[in-house]
Amino acid sequence: MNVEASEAIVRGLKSAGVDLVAILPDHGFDRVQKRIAEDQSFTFVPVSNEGIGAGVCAGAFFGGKSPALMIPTSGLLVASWPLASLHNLWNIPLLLLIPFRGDVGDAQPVMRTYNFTTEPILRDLQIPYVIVREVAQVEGAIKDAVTSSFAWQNPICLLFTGETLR
Amino acid sequence: MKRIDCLKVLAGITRENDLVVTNLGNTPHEWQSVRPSRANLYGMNLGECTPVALGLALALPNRRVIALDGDGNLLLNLASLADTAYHNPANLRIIVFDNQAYESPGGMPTATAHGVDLVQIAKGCGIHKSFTAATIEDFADKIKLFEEEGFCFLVAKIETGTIERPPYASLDYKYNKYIFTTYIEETEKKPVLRLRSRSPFTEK
Repeated sequence: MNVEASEAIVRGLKSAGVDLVAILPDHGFDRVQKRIAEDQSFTFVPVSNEGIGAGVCAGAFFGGKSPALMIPTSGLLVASWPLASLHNLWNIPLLLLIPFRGDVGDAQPVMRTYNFTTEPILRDLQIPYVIVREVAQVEGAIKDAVTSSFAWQNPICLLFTGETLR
Repeated sequence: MKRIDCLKVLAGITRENDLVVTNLGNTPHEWQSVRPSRANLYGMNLGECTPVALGLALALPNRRVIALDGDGNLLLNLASLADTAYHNPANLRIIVFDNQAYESPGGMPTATAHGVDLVQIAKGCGIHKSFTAATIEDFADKIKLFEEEGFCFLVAKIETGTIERPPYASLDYKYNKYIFTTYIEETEKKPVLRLRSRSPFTEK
């Protein structure tokens, strides 16, 4: 992810009131995750698997935080258990930020699988999502996602691809 | 040692504003019977009790958070012990009721029935205040450590079995969400649900 997109994510998170970010390191999010780790306005929670991150975000919500979970594309599969049995069942808000690896244009062979899994899993988990392709969309997409996530008491996902990932 | 007896001891030292997160299965019913409270968050599914308690403890560092986990529940997401040790929240206490069985779905043994020692794992993760209690006297003694500052982890070796349950549960877990969140809003004086009265789509 380039500098402009990374900075736009940080600005978007701040303007949307996100104050806790759980992460598992990801190549696409490398720059922005380091930025968030250094920024004192966020409670930064690195975790060992995405399911733990989803649980931590749920607990943080119960404590009055506005949480975001920033994970690799593959991590959606790992997080699907708490996203189903906790967030879906209890209607818990969450901003989910995922690079859309495996989108058409991705030249990494191992990412092909996620073209087939990512969107269907989000639909099955009843998590509305927006595909963010341009840097200019980033801040507004984050603000809209957080607004609807709390209003609907439901996770919302942003999938980053195109210009934002290059 | 029976879990209900441990919970009675725990209820005796639990403060009114302590937040208690329970796993799924028999623990929430037993805990509700000894400490009915809006500060209880019941019914975390497999692998989710300790992570949710960690998130709650990080969000509210000035409130004591007690997780009532189980051996099967924790084993599904054992890495959560490593993450909790890493973040080391001073306000978190974890009790694992270890009956060495997946009791709710029929009683098949968990790994702890074959020698896996959760306290040694916790110590290996860096949780220095990690203890085992095998008798109710021992449990009552170890639970006093909860009054000291700092994250601690206690494994209570219990037998299987639970109290009699009424045919209908007294609460639905989603209903519990609203009970708990409104309690936090009242006591912490800050929004949790953040339901909006108007949509940006119609705001001028």
